[in-house]
Amino acid sequence: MSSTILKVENLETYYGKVAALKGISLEVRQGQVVTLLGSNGAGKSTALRTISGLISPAAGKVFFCGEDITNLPAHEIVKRGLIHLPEGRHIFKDLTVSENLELGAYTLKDKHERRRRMHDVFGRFPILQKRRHQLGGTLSGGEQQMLAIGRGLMAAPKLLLMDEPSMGIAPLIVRDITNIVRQLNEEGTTILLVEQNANMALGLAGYGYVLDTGSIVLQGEGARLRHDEKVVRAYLGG
Amino acid sequence: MVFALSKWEVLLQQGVNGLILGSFYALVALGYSMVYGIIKLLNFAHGDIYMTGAFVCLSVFGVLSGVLPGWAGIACSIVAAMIFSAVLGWLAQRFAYRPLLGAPRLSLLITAIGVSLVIYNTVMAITNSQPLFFTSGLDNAAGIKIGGITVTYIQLILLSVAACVMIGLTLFIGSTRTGKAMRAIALDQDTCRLMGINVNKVIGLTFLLGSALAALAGGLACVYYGNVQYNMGYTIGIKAFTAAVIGGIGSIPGAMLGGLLLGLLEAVGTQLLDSSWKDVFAFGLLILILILRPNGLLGKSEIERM
Ligand SMILES: Nc1ncnc2c1ncn2[C@@H]1O[C@H](COP(=O)(O)OP(=O)(O)O)[C@@H](O)[C@H]1O
Ligand SMILES: [Mg+2]
Repeated sequence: MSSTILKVENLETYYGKVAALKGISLEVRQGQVVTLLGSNGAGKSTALRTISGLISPAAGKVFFCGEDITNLPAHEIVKRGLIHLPEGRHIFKDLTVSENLELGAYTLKDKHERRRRMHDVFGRFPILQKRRHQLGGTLSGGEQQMLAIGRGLMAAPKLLLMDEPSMGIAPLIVRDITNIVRQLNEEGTTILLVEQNANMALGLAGYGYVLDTGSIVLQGEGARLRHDEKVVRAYLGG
Repeated sequence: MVFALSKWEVLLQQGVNGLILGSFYALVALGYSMVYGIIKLLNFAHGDIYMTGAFVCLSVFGVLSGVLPGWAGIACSIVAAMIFSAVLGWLAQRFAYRPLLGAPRLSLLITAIGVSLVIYNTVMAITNSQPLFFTSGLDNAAGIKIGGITVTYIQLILLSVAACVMIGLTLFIGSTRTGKAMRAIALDQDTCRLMGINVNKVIGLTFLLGSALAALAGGLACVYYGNVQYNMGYTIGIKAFTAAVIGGIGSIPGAMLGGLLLGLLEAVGTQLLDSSWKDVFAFGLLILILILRPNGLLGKSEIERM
């Protein structure tokens, strides 16, 4: 069995006095795609934001590659190779496509390596190369998602946290995004995928967790979850 | 015919004066605009940072005058003023503004007013409310004649320094890694943190830079006008802030354009009417510009509320 890259233990996060995470634990191993499912408001984004250091938890621990990163600031966590692609893409709208990508490799000082990575991203997403001088805000939703993924790849992630990459994207493009995620994983990137689109996520993930109002209510192999009665009823429209 | 020509010459001469004044406004407006762009704060203390720059320049020159007279001494004094004010601006940011970044916008604004009053009153107390005079020992009237107008050496130096700084800043913001981070932070701070940007550090750097530019203007003003007073930051603070808004607050080229435009309008107003009417003329036109373009000349069309 491969080594654990991310370990979350009893994480609790509050907004003011309201608990958004009530002590969740999960684990991602090297080379896996793990999905975190749940309906709107379940706490999925909060979980990712806590892991990546955007919000501090009230209790619990986060370990990345064996290191306790619970109280590190977000920009320090990025340096270790844990990259979070936020919900809604968050492209820098007034910056060009190239500038967006360059910021993805902000922590990398080596200019040549930055250029090499941008070349890789352009190879993967030729549309971004074509639009490299355009402002990020002028791209379509699908293109922006590619830019968001490309920007994440500029950091050469060890672990990629993806928050609803299929959100607000045309069904045809969702298939493209699914293929991209699969390909990234085949190339060796470990992924924690947050989705409401359980169909998409369970097609990709080897293991899954189901989050409901801040607690993990179910977990198991992807194939098993896909046939779980409760999951089918709640998330697969069965 | 002769009359018409000389009238053009006077207007040109006023144009030079306007550019000088406008350069001062622009250098100060840049700091207002950069700080507003990145943390949406109207930094009321910015005019006082300018005043501090003038004050430090004068003091350091006084100490240096035996050792380093003339332009070398002036240059060193201005650099010292920039360093001092940059540190002062950074300290205000670090200890007064940063703790309040999550607080209501109004608390931050009041804090800035507080910082302004602290600096203002400190210098007032130190100087006993008296103006201090700057004598460089150089001939301020020396210069070159172009056609019928005279441009003094000090005016030439002032304009070149301002032009170089503005070009340098444009390149810095436009193409360096840190410049890109500054623009990105103005758009979306949390996402910047996810890029690995130390947002607080970059905000601090913005204050360093903006304050150094204000002190550069203050030092140049000290040399150019020959006197320094604790309240000299007040009017230029308001005018530079106006310039930043006219240009489109948050926009770097906008601050430069707004500053130069305001300086030129005042100079032309002085010429066409009378110096006591220059503000009425300039600000009347500026109100008109804002009615036509509420977000300023180069500002974005989003509506921002204070
Ligand atoms: N910034 C915030 N301030 C207060 N409450 C929030 C904030 N963000 C999310 N919440 C609340 O926390 C809960 C979990 O939200 P979120 O993590 O965004 O869920 P999900 O991503 O699963 O849709 C929701 O009840 C939401 O209303
Ligand atoms: Mg969410």
